[in-house]
Amino acid sequence: MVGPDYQGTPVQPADPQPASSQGAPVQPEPPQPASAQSAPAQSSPAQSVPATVERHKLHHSFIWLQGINVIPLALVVSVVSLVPPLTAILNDTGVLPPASATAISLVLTIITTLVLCGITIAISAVSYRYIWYEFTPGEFSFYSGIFNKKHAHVPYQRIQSVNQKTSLIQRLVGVCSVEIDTAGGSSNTAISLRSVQREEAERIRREIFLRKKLLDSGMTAQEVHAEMARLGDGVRLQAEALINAGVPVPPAGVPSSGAYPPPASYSSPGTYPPPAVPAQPVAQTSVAAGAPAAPAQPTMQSPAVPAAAAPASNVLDMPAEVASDMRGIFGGLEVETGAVTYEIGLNNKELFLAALTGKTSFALVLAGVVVSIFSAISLVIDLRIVSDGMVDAATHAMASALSVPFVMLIVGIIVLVSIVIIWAASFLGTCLYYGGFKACRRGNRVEVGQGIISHNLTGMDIDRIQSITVTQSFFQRLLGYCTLSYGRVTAGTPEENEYSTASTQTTAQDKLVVHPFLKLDRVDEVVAGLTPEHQIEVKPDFPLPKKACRRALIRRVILQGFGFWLAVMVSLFWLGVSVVDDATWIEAGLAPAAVDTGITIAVVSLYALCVVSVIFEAIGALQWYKMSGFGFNNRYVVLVNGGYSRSIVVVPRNKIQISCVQRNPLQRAADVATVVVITAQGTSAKRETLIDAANDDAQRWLAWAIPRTSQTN
Amino acid sequence: MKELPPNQLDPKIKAVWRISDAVVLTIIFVCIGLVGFIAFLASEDTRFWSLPYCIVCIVLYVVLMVLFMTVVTPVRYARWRYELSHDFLDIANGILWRKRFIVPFIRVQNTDTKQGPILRAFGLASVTVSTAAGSLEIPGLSAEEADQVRDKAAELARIAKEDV
Repeated sequence: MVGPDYQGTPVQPADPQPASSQGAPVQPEPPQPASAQSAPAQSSPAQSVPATVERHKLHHSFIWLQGINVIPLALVVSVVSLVPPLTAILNDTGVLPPASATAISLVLTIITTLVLCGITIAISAVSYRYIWYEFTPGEFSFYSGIFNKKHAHVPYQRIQSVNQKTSLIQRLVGVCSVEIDTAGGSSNTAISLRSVQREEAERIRREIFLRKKLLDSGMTAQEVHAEMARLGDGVRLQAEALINAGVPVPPAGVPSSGAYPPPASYSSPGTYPPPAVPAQPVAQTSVAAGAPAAPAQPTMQSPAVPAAAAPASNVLDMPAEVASDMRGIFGGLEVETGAVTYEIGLNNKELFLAALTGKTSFALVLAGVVVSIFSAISLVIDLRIVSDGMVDAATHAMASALSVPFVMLIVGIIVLVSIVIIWAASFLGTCLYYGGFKACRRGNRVEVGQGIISHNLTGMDIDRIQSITVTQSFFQRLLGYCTLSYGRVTAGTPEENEYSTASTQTTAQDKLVVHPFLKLDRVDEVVAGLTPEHQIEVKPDFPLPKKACRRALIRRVILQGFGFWLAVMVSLFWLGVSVVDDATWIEAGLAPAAVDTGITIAVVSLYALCVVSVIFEAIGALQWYKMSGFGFNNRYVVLVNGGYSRSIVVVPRNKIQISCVQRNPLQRAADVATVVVITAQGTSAKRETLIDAANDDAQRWLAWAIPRTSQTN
Repeated sequence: MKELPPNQLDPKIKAVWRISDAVVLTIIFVCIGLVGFIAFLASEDTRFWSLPYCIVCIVLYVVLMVLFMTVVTPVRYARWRYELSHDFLDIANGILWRKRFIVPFIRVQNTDTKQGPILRAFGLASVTVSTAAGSLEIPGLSAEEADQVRDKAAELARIAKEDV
């Protein structure tokens, strides 16, 4: 952290914040005898709050963008509800020819749409008047509401992440939505600012993280506020660079290609020298990519990211960069938000594989296959029924041609085609989603940006990382890749503003994916680059005991086994059917022999399915047993759960909220225990579990979880 | 971590548990048994099922009552251990699923003391210790012990450098 020599400001020893409930204003600390300087300021809080708490308004596109957003909906609604009745009425009167009746009703529809749009704009205009935000000394404050006044106050130190979301239309206009996530609880919603100018959004991000950093370094809220007021806009950057000098630099093992020196030339406050990158290449690339012409605003490329130095790039990076360089009509100038010390993207292969094997694509394909099989079967059955009913000899011949192999062929083709189509669609979707993916370390936070059409940027403070998770899907395991993510605390979904359409509503995920498709052996390097604070050398030293294998087999194959329970159901069905005597079948108009063969075929094939599923589950259980385990060192605990897919969760010791060891009677008999690590990740909590660790190891871990008084954490 | 935490709850909690168990069991019994009872009274035709239904309900009720009063409550009491160390809370409980929790006080966000009517009648308080990831409840503490827990949590929460 910062030494006391920072800007010559007296720094108090770490001032403990009272454990106030969320959103309660942070009161200045009672004066401490050591800091005589701050005592007078605190004795009269009214005086000490400088008059520079500025009210920041949102951008005016808040008003009219809402109107534009509403147009399609309003148009559909009014067309559906107005055109048919109006036309009918006008036709009934018989005064006008039918064509002009339709025209009149269409004109009326458009007028209605415009009126609806106007009403929305008017409402937005009124609510716009009452929406503003402030950077008060201790907290970020957001005011909104016409009748129901809502004041949200978030202490800077409780802010988890600041996210920037941009839809396509917002991107054109040059605004974005800013979401400020606070520490969890489902009742706790994030603050969501819609229509913030991009320049302003960058400023918010910088301001919040800088204030938080200063507060963490031990200054009081008042001091920070005075400091921020004193520092000009440009000097703040230098201040942040100074602060970040306290952050350990990446170790020598990290390739330095992604490391950039902090910008050094911001000497005059308030003004930014244009970066030395010529505008020429940008214009060329935008033409080459077929993007619309650059807007009138001068496009300024981020000085920190020369394309050549980017550690990994793919075909979509260039269009994404061009798109993000277009700051839109009201985007404003780029605000430097801090120096990037490490950056990682996706290369072509990673992007391709990620899109090809993504979870969503796999699920979609599976669903698509099922649907297409059913539709193909029903199609074939329809065909046969229709042709059965025909007397025509030719049709009859065709119907008999629809023999089993032919039917199989048709079904196969349909399934194949639908798989290809669905896969291609999800492939494209994933490509657009991950296009321009960049994770970087900027100052004291990790920032992840992604998306070509709509763009999401998430900034997360380093000390808010709840866990470091490496997951491997089955495909990724085959290829030796993994997904790397940081666990984070999320607030509930942002409360809908009173009159907003659901435009940019995506729930924040409890994991911030910093690389969707990373070679497994590069995990350490990337973690060291993004978060040098976390040197994870913890290994899962405690494998599962032998008894866990037996228990896993019983659990996976029998208790939770699909195959086993299917077999039970099939057996019961068979028993039930065998009781029915032949007379009943004849009564129902079925030949007993045919029924018997049908049932036998069904039962045998189902049993075969059971056997296959049991074998799969048994292999899965054995794999789980072999690969799972846990371990801990001074700072971290790691839980590994294997199987067809694998997850490795590393939780820093100081992020464990509750440590728990559970044992049921059978586990006690086998001398094993379930290890549960509960963190605050997600909206309320996240339990990371490992079933059937050796009891001795689990107890040793529990002893480790007891706070060590000698250690200050 | 082999040995259990030393402290047991206030013995009066057994009476509290007995009363609340009895109340809960009775409510469940009434809810389930009422159907059969009404059917039994309403019409002779239903007796073929409502009579055994009612009998089974009553037998179950009595057996469970006796079980909870005489076996479950003492075992639960014996299994419920806690320790208020100077910087962490250690809880072990559970009859079949035995659980052991460690909660460092610096993770505690707030502690609530609650007194329901039954607890108040016995002069006890239940303390809920909440962290950012859920809460744990110590059901029966005397008033001064409850205060002690609260003070410790508050004091150590101040030392904690960061939340979550």
